[in-house]
Amino acid sequence: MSESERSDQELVRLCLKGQDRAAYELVSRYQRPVFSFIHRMVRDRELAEDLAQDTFVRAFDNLRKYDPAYKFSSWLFKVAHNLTVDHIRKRELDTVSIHGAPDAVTAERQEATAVTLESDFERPDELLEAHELGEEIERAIGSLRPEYRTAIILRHVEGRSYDEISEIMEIPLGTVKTYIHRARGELQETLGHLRE
Amino acid sequence: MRPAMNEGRDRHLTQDERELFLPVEGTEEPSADLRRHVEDCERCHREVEALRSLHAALASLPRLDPRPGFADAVMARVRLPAPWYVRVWKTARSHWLPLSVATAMVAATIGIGVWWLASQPELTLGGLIGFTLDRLVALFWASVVATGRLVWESGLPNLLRTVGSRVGVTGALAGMAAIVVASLLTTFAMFRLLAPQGGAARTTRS
Repeated sequence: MSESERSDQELVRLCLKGQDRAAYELVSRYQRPVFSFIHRMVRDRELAEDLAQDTFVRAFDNLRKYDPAYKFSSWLFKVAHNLTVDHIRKRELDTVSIHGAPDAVTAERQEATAVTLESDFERPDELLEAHELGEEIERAIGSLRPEYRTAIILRHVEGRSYDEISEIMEIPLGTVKTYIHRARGELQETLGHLRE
Repeated sequence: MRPAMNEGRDRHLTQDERELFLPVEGTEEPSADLRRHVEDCERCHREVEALRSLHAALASLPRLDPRPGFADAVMARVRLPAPWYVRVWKTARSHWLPLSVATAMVAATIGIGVWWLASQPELTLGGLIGFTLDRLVALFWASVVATGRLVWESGLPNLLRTVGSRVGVTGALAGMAAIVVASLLTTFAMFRLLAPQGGAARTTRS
């Protein structure tokens, strides 16, 4: 059986036996969701990659603490969330744009920190419109408080259940609901004109 | 115009109930009663549509890709918590040359020793074991006597008696507790030291 056919739990078991290939498969499997999540939290490509790397390294360092009764992806998101929130608290990052990090003042720095989006649009005007729309949504998410941002990204972008979000953020279910309710209110206010 | 509330339902949808109308994996389907209410109640209809629209906008955001080589960069920093025999094997494989030289030297020393012993006609295996055991026992007793003499000459028993008479039972118990705590901390520290450590230096990305 190839590594890509194995479940997360099987791969974790193999990692605990020291198999690098299993670890590589887990990284390949979750690098996009973890990186996307962190990038939406910090809005800086280089920083997001560093934090995503740290997430995987910390996860593998603490793999013995992982309880296979839970989803591996939730556990990984919990590690990513903790690292990112710690960083945000330290730096009090503001968010902004897929064109580059908030502190990117030079063109080189903007290019280094910007994100390349894959697109299915063939016509340039469609691509531009989608890009602008996406940019506006990203900016609206970025304007939320970090805890609202985490909850809303996990719920609507990553499609996580309330229980999983509660587990990832280590807060009660009721608090998750409050965060999401308030975040939705703020987003609907900010993005209200898009529905017209 | 839709009525404010449909018959048989005296309240608007809660947040949890509105959630059921989202196309999120693992979410159960809304009941027929709820669906009917949303069709009839203008306020709930508007709220559900607003929620759906927001969800569609957020769910359409693309997954972002890290740069190529991300997984390799991670793997260069990862040290898996492998069992000790796997770690030993990996270390042996990565340092095979010095380990081979060391093994060869040890084997040669033992070989020469065995050859020399075998070439001594007056030496038998039983005699050799007996001689070694005699020497070990003698060495043990000599150490015990030497330690006892050292303790006695240092005046330690007098010192302990004096301290004991002044400290009392509480102090003795506190001292014992401190020793137990120190032992536990030492054990914990040893476990921490022996546990596999994570990642080396951060790799530079291209």
